Amino acid sequence: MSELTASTSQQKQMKKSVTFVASTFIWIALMTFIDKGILYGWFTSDLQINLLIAFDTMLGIVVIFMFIKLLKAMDELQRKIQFDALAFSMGATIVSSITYSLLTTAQIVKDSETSDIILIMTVCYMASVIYGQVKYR
Amino acid sequence: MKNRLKVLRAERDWTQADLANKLDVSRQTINSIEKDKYDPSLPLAFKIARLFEQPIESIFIEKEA
Repeated sequence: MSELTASTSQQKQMKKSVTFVASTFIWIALMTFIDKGILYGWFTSDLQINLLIAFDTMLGIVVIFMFIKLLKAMDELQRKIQFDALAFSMGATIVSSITYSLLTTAQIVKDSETSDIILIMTVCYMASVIYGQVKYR
Repeated sequence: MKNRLKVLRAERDWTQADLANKLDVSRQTINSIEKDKYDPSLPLAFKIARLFEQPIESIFIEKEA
């Protein structure tokens, strides 16, 4: 009976993971579509653009709550790996943003871009999750 | 923290996956606890103690300072 419960909860976690990854993919794909659409003039009116941006933002908020739900469905070691990765990526993002900002003020580098910060955050997060998975395998 | 999880599991002829299923955690968690890489939370430690019908302090042994 307990084995049945365990496998069911693991299946639930897997289902949530798949849904989270799919939603994140849709959110990013829509974001890219809007960005390219604006750049290449695919949209006929501002209303169309505003509605798409509003929808994409709402989808982004849904993804945040799905990630929280996914964290809650994980077992305690997986959650620790995720929290360590989040802490590392947040710290690395803050430090690199401040460094980038100082370098921009000193005119050593050109204006900082938001996409660079997101890239740093993503790379740090992914690297930290992989490190955690290898450490506790 | 040291523990006797591997010994207790071997006595019952359970695999790590069997124990993970019984405790509703991943096999990775069982492996990390057995290798002293990860100390379980208090609720999980109690769950382990209940499963093996032993006092918690006979399964988890605090390392001498």
